[in-house]
Amino acid sequence: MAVIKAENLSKEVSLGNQTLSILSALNLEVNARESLAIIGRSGSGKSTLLSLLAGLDSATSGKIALNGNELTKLDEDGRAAVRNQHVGFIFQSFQLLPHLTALDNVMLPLELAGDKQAQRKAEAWLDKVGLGGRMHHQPNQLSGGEQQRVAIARAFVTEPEILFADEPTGNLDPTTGQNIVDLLFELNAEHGTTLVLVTHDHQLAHLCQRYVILENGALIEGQAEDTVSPQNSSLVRNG
Amino acid sequence: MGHILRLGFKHWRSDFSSAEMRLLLIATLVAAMSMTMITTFTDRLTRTMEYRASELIAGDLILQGQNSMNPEWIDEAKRRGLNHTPAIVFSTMAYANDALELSRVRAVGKGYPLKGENQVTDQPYGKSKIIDGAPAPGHVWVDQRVIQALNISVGDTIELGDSEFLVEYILVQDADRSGNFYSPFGAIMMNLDDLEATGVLGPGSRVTQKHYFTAPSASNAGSAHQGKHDNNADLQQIIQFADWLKPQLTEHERLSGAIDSDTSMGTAVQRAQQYLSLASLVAVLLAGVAIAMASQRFSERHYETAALLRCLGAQQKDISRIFILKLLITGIVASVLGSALGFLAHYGLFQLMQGLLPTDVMPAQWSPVIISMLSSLVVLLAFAFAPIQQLKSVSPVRVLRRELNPKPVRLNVFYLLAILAIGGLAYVLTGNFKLTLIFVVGLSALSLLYGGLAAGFLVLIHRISNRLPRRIQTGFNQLYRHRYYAISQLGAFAFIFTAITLIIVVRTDLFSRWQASIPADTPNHFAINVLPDTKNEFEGFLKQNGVNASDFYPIVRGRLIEINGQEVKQAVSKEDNVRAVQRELSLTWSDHLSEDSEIIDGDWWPITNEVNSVEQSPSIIPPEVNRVSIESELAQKLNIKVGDELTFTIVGQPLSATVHNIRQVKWDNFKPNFYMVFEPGVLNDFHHTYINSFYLKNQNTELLLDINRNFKAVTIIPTEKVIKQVREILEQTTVAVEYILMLVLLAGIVLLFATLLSTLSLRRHEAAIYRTLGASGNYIRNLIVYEYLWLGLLAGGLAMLSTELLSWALYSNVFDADWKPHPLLWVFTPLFAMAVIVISGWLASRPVMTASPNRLLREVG
Repeated sequence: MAVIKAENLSKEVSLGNQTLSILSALNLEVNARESLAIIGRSGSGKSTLLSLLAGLDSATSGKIALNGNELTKLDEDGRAAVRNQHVGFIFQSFQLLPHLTALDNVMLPLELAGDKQAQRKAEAWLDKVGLGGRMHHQPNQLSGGEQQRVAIARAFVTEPEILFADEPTGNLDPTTGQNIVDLLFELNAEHGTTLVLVTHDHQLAHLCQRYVILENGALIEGQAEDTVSPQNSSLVRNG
Repeated sequence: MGHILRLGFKHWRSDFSSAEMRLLLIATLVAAMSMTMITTFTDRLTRTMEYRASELIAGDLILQGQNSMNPEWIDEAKRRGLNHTPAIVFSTMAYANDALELSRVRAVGKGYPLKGENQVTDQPYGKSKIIDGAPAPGHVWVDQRVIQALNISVGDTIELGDSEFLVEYILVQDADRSGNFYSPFGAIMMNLDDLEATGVLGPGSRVTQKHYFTAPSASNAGSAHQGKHDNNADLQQIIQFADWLKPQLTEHERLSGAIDSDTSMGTAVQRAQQYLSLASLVAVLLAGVAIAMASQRFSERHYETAALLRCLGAQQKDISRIFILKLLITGIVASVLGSALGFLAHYGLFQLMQGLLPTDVMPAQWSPVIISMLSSLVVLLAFAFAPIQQLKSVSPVRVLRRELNPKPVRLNVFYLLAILAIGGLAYVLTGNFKLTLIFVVGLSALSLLYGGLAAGFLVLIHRISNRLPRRIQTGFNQLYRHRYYAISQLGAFAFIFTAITLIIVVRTDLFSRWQASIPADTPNHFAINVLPDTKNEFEGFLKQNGVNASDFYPIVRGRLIEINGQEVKQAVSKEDNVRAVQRELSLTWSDHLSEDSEIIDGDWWPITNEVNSVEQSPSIIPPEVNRVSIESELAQKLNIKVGDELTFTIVGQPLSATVHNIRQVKWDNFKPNFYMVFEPGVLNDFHHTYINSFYLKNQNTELLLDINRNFKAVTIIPTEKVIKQVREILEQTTVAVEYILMLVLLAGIVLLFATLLSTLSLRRHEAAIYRTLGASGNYIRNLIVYEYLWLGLLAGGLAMLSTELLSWALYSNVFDADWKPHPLLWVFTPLFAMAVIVISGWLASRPVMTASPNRLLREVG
């Protein structure tokens, strides 16, 4: 069953008196528990597509349904509620709040939802990502890899059905990147989350069950046989 | 919603260490501190001054009338718990040693004076002493004039009607000084219980009834100054009683309070209060602008946070709540802390001025503190609301694309809130609508002016910049590249320097003006009842003794009865309470305009030889048309214009005169001043005496006794005590103002840093790139210094212009003072601004100049 469904999706932006088309009449379906990579060159519109699919931005035309919620019919606050309930995010630049501790950062989405067990759950997740001993450290006291682990804990803590990851290893060295990728795919498999990953790194994309290439505002389906299971992959490590 | 509030609180704690948050806190703290200090201080001082002013009229309130008054009014006052004592004032002959003297007798009831004190002496012109209460039955206190006229001394007896009284003291100063200063009669004070036995008052006798009232705990009856620590509730009772009574009064009665605007006391207090309030308002306003700048920066620094929260599912209203809550907590902490500090500071102020202030100052009240606390919160919310609200419109996509900024601040909302808050505060602090309006309109105009001029200057200098030396040109180019920020920075800097220079200029001008209004040789004695045939001799006597005396003015007593044929009582409504038409006036004539007066409409009559020699030729031919000059405020109250015809009655004889000019009078110069000055020749045939004033160094008793011996009819009235009191008040306020100036400066410094902070990250970013591209620390230093120099020059120029403009507006509309340009200001404001901005900018940007490019690049992300 498709948990993400985009139909005839278009996004245009106006630059002065010119209109620039970023995505045009694009269709995409992602099934539950599936992992999908969106690849493309810099400026191809990957991040724009991710922001539309995740309900961070609104499309110029077309429809997007996320877990049955038609995002294009919702206003910004409505989309925020959907994100809070169903979606988790991992970013290239980690996006941790600098003045909060690791624990507070992980608790953030739970606190926004009014979850009374926020602290217990956050602690459990930090343990799980191997940061049980660094809960009260602030982001500037953590390494890049540790910061991304905090971000992964934050993404999974609400037990979302769908996880969006934007270049999750882009700011990390290859070894740390590989560790993060391992952790991400492991948790994804364990929790049966649908993963949508945006990257320009083909090797990382091949770790997903499926990948699509974004070119000239349209999607091209990748070859299924290229798919590599994360456990035996050394693509990132060697890349 | 509870979890959002908890989240807001948590974020506030973790945010507390940020520079913006601290600046917001300090700015709000300064606003609260300034307001609490000023409002508490002025509240206490005003109430004390009101008290002291009411000492001058022997009560908080005087009800006075020609006939017997409705006894219900007195009953009502008693029912309200007010202290009350009556007095009856009348004229009668005093008799002793075969001599008669027409005297003004004040028969006072038990408890007189309710406030203030009588002063008496045992010897003519002897050292006066304060005395409790009033004469006991069978005793009288008489003034110097009666002593002279009847040739008596203390311990002798005098007769009033059928009764004989022992002269206990010479009366130097009656506690009630509200009476007619230039009274031509001697004064006697007696006990009201003795009045009936004298038999001097028959049916239809012309008497003035006076009733003195004070608030329940304000009377100094009983032990001196007992209950002096009254509170506002007591004063409220007086005001409520006055409000109840006023509508019931007929044209024969008059109610007067402690502070009348036409006394030098009242004017000084009111002006000082207005100034203090204005100064504290400026401090608050500076703090407000600092809040606006710091919160804009705070908002910009939180775009990422807002975007992430939105991304994680926070609704727009959650974002608003979280950040408004953070603001509120900051505001509450800052306002409580600021008010506490302000409250302590006001004690410090009283402590500093211990020697100058009265020992018994009214106790502090809670209300000014609470009002200040709330007002500083209002200032914070009003100035920070628009920038903070901007955060809710941050797009969640910003987590992916940092360059996406939210919609700019809605300036109309920002300005509306800021103007409402400042307008409201201005009204609360000054209680003066006109001043509030000038302040708000001036401020709005100033903001527009700053924006327009700053942009204009930048464009203009940009056009000629290639003709400037290279370094100066580079500094300007740097400023020009940042023109979006530069305009708001220029505005803020100009604002700081305008506030500071304006406060200094107004302070210097007004205080030197006030001080000059009572110079060291201010006349401290009045000589009245100088008879025409002894006038020249008396004048010669003063000159001979080296006494600096004012002109002599003749006095004819008369009452204004008609304006253009219409009865004067109809021309003026009861509420206007124009005292000048309810009593006899001292009319005078003069061939020249006195030096402290100024004609504002019409012209002075020509001086002719005949007129000049008026004293020597009393048979001068009267002019064809009787011409009179009228004092401007009275003319305004009675709506009298040049050309109007006024009719007076003088000893029962009507006399008409045409208003030839309207004259502004400086009432507080301690010289003889008059509502009506006639052209010489109009009044000469009426009985008249002369008045003048002179200055005696120390209390020259010998000379006064000499005057007494040689000019028996002349009465000398010393005014030293009143002058001393006014001078003291001025000194007190000067010190207070200096203290407040420090607060304005503190607010200015906070704003300065808020302004510098607003572009610090931009500078850091640029410096990182310059350093990476190989620029030396020296190059960056020069760039920053020259840019700040330009900022200082332009901001100083703007400040100089606006200070001149604002001081002109304030002088001509509020302070009623002459305005003159301040050339020193034109030089020093830009220099001062350049020095301050370069030094503080240098300090703030030091890390940018010395840090390694790598660190800078890491910091700016």
